[in-house]
Amino acid sequence: MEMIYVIILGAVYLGLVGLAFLVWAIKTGQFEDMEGPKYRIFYDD
Amino acid sequence: MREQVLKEDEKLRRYEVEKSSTSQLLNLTTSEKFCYHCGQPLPSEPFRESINDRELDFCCQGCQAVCGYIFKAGLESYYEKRDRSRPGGPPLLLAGDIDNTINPKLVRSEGNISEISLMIEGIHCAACIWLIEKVLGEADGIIAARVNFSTNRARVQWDSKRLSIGEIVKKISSLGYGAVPYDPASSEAVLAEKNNDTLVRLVVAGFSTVASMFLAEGLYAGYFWGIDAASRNFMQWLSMFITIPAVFYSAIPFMKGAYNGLRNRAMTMDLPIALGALITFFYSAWATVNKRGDVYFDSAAMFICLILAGRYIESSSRKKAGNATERLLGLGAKSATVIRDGECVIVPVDSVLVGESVEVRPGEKIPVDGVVIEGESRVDETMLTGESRHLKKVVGSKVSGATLNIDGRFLFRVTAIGEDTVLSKIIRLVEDAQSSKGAIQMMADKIAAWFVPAILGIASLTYIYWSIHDPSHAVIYAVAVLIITCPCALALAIPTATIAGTGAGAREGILIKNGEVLEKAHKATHVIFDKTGTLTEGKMGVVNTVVSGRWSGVSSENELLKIAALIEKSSEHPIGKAIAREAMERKLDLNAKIEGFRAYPGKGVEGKIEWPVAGGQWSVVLVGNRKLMLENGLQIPHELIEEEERLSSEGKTVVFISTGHRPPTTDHSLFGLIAISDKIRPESKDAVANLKNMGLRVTILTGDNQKTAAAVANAVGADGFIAEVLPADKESIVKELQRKGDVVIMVGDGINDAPALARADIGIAVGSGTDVAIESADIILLNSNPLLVARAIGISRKTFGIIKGNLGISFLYNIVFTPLAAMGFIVPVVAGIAMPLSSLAVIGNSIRAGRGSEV
Repeated sequence: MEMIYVIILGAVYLGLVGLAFLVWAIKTGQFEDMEGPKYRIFYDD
Repeated sequence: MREQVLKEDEKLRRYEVEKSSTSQLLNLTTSEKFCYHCGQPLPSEPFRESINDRELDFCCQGCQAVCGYIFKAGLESYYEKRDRSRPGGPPLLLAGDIDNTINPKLVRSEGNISEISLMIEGIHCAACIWLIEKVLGEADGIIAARVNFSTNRARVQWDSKRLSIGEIVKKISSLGYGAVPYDPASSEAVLAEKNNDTLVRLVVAGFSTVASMFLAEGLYAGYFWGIDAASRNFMQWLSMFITIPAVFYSAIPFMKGAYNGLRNRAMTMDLPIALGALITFFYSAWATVNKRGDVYFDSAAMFICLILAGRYIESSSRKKAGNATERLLGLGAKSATVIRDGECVIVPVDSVLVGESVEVRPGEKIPVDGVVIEGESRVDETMLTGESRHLKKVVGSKVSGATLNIDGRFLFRVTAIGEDTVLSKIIRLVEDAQSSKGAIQMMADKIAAWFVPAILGIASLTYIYWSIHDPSHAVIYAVAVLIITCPCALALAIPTATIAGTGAGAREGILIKNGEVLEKAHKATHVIFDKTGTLTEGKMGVVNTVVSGRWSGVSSENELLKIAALIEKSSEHPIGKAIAREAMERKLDLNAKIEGFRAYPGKGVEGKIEWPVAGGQWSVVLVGNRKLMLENGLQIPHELIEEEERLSSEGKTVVFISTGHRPPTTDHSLFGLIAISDKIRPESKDAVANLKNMGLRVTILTGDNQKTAAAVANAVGADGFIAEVLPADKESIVKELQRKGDVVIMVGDGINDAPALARADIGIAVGSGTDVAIESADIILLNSNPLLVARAIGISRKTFGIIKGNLGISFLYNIVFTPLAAMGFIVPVVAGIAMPLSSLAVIGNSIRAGRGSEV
């Protein structure tokens, strides 16, 4: 039954990693221009 | 490996096909009569230039120069990349050296490396981004350049030793775009920053919600099927830690808002939110530490998350809308060419003095207000008046700062600078209107004002009652009241409804800048249209053609139009242009020889046509007013005179068309007339009728004369009209109506409408309008269809209905559960189910109502 502690804590840890990644993405402006990049891939040469 | 090669091959082949089809498209578009650069229709005599062995036509010198520059830089693939369905406007040109006109505060420097943020005007498709980034990226000394397509903002980093900011702005402007530095600490950037901040808080709250819900699921399972005390306590402790970021980071804006509200002795919606979150959290924490009672961490996290989600959606729809005044200031020219001691000197616009002579060349913005003293030109005053007609300026005409000089060079004497220019006055009016527009109390805050005291009162009564009858449970029951009346459903009632309404509007091309507008618009009593550009198309067009029966050679209206257009096609007069445009639109064949074109100012024009019908014969054609006809000794047929009188009483401009020999002989016959006016949009009549059916009064506001205004008001069926309004008076008319108790919706498109749009309870800007009008307005119609005004009000009314429904649901919930909690009947599981259920019911109701196509 002790296994449950490990699993829960592990899941929370993974969640925190995901959260950190999202916060990083927001802070570095990944969501600032939602329009441009989809065109940019065609034009970069 | 082989597959890979095949794939590449296939890609290449497809690319070739696409490329050839684009170039076919290119040939097609260039062979038709559109400017190669900007895609606007060509004038009768286009600017032609041979670039790379191709004959290209341009609408103006500006486009020609920009295109030449693009080819020279080897970036002609721009023309293949860009979206032909979205033509741009003519390029914005820049005069002189602008280095010393840029506020050094806007440049951030670190050693040699400088950075600036620029607002780019004139971006219309993704290829523009490519072009700007490419040109800047290849320039020597530029370290990084990135243009944001969503916001049309650029960030440029450069080596200030090798390049000056002026050269960067000049590079952008040589591509035909305007670049205005802006302060990233301005309200707009602050808004974007705040938006990002909300997003981070939302993500954190989302994490807490999901994680604590999983744990809560375990706890509920334990509640039903048993769980050992150690596991239960472990899960409770863990939930607490997981919920801490949601309550003490994500919910901070609510706590601040509640605190600020209390300091101003007001109870805002933030207060019940903050109270709900804190009480739920601390009660659960107390239960966890003392190992008694139940925890509701998941409820606290979920409700913070849901409310933040609502706020985020709202604030991101506002992100694009900038600050109107800031945009207005960016409109003006930055430098001016002043004649000092007989020499042309380029100076910053701030240092121009009243009484000085200023030179303006074609394509330049007029820097300040003044009176023309030499030369003549046409000026585009769209930005001030919303009228797309180019106005002829001759010696003695007044010119206004920030308007665009089209084709002539002229000198003018400065009459007003700085604060006194027309543009500055408009800016002041907008500022005044925005700051003095009394913020009406939002419904949510009105409700919060009595909701909070009510729940606190009920909780205290509960505590008092139980401390007499069962002191051991008094605290728990009182807290249960506070938790169960969790304001979640209430806090969501209004934002979810406005989001649903905003979404329904967006699907129909109605952009609603903030949800509060929807709350206000249903109360509207009076709609004011600025005539030009909203109910009418805003440009002169042919509205009637009448062919007199007396002449046999011309039988159809098209033939009449064709003859008039043949003569008028080389005319610069707006009437002539309207006729020529109509003929082009009807695809009439305008290939015939013209000789001896003459214009009689104020009367009309004359020319000789190689007669298209009677085989090679030359014939004199006169196009002009009655005076011109009479001076040429022509008898105007009776029925045409009647027609003329009828049409001009409707405010239309009438020209007669006659043909024959000179001097007049008996066979010189008059054969028709054409009436020209600002065309009323086909939908205008229905639009006004719809509004009147909704019980609103409709008034037309215009700077035109009484006759024209009356004719338009009559034609669309408006309740009334106010004619000969000076631009500055529009705002005071709105104010006057508001004073009488009307809730006013103003619909407009020009800069001169901006103060009125800002002053009105709801400002609606049509999509073709100027940026400033759009930014002063609360609602933007993506296309210029006036029917959308009624739709917007309809959506507002519907939204108000949803709000009422939502409030009903949340009150019902509170009425059922609060007494139960006060009596101590609430089992934790019921509370745990009821709380989210009430929120879900509210969200569900909003989605249901928002999805209905009949919104």
